[in-house]
Amino acid sequence: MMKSLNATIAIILVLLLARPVAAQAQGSYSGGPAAASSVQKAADPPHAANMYGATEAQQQRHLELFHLGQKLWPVYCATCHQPPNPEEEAPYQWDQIMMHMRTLENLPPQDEFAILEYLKTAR
Amino acid sequence: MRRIGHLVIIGVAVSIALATIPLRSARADESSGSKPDSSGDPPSAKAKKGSEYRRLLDELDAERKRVDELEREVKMIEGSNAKLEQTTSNLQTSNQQLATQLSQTQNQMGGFQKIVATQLGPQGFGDRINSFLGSHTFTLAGTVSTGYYYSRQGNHNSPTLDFELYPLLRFNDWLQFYGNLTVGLSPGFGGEAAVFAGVANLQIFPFGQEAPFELVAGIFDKPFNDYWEDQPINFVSPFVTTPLPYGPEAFVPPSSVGLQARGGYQWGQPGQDWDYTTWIDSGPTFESAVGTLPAPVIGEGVNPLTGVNLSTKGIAVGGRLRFYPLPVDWDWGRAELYASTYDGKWMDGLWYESWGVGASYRVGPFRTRAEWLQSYRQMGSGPTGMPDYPGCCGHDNRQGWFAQVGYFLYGIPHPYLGDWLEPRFNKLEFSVRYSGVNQRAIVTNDITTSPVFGFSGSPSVFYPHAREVAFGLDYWISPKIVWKNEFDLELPRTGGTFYTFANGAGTPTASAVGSTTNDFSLETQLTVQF
Repeated sequence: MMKSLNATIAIILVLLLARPVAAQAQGSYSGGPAAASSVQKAADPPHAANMYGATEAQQQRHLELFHLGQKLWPVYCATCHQPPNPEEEAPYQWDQIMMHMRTLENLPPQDEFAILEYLKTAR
Repeated sequence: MRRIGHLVIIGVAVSIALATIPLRSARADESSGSKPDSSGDPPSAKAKKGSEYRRLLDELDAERKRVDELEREVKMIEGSNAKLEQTTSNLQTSNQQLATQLSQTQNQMGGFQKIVATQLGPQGFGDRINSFLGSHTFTLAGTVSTGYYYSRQGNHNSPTLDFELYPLLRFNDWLQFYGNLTVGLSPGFGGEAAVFAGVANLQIFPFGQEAPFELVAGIFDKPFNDYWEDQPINFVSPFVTTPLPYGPEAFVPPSSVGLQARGGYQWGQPGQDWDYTTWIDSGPTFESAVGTLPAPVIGEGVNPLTGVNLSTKGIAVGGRLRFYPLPVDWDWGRAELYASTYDGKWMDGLWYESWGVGASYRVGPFRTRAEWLQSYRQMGSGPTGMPDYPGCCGHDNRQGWFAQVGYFLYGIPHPYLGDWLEPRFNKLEFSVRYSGVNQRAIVTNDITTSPVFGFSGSPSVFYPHAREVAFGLDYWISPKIVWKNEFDLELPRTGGTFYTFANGAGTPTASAVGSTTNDFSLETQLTVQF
């Protein structure tokens, strides 16, 4: 029993310690547009691309996120419920709801940003 | 020599004279037109030559006029050309000016973009202030579920109501409050409405939302396997009731007060994720800890909320790992594998351990889910303060499982239903679930036939070896309104022990579970999400 608890604590510690390593790995791997978005995303808040005077790179990232969110939205949301209509909520409410859904479902950050981008833009 | 010189002079003079003679003759011819002919030609020939001469003169005048006109045209063209050259020159000057202005504008735009991208512009300033101080936006969501339950063995028809509010208060980019305030109405609450906070926690992003690390502090659904947290029965689950391992005789507490750390990573293509959840609380408690039962006993129910175990100084930790192997681009659906554990102390020094594994898969109209879970509870004996009782002192082992499949009927061809029935048929979902538990004992004092939200009230689920087959038929009126119907077959098996605390008794009496009684129940429930 003691071993089991120790093993559990060890697993939790390993998970916590592995976080920075995984975060670095996430920033360095080449996994397609989503990976690029995640790296770029770390530089600016999600709504920066909506600001007037967005650079071409920001607009490109905006578009990549939208298309990724368009793919993820029906799959991720339908895991538990019907995918919501983007028009149902105001953009600031999508900010709230996606922040909660990310916590509840442990969504990777770039996936949260992509779905949020899709919901707010498609609206 | 002088003679030769004279000869040369003479020769030259003769040559000049010879050359001069034809010229004079021609001039004489030329002047003969205007003067009376003094030569020997006839008059008609002279007139002919004169007319010919005038004709030639006229042609010459005409040619001269044409030449003059052409010269004027050339001058005009040259003038136009000069104007064009001037215009071209002007355009080139304007073009250069425009190029200069464009360059200046581009430089200004570059400056603006640099400000937007790297510096703190007016909008960025506002956003950063908001992200720090917060916009304090508030959203209220919720569900209302009303139903009607029937159990043959319980011999009752009972309405149920579940009204849940989910307040979301977002303070800023890294802090949000989420709660679940529930109002339940059913005979299980003594005919009165009961209000309680199922979930109330702070969702914290200490390193910002870019980092896959979140903290949840407060009361949270236990993320044990995938049921409590992700498959609540009011809206997400296709069934009205919970599977037996998560029913009224659950052996893993559904919620906890504590601290969670959690996050998700994408390890491959989009859709290929894994995530972790760890938490710490003050350990599970059982009915005897709060005085519902006079003493700890094998089979006693676990209290639904852990982490308030102040009296026993317990501590427990839990963790869950989930893995998603399929990328979204493959269009093979969403598959999920998960494992979890929850371990700690109860009653100060006695061990409680639990673990489970599960999987789910969803593609198109088809979805399936299955889990296995078990728990172990160390039981003390007399020397540890617990009284001996029949069958005492073994350990409290429990196992449970469920497997379910569901299918939206829009996946089945139905060409003959007609225009009215076809769109309604599309909204039906059929599900079937098999679940069971194996445990050493049940405390009969826990048995209730009062239905509550999510429990039909059938006493047949209170057997140590309970089994249930549930059939569900849901009608999705809209994406946020569902009418759920369930038919349950309760098929408990022989085995295990019933413990009973008589009034005033400090130790239970034991009886072996012999024959069991099957039951069936019906549940219907309308749920609206807002």
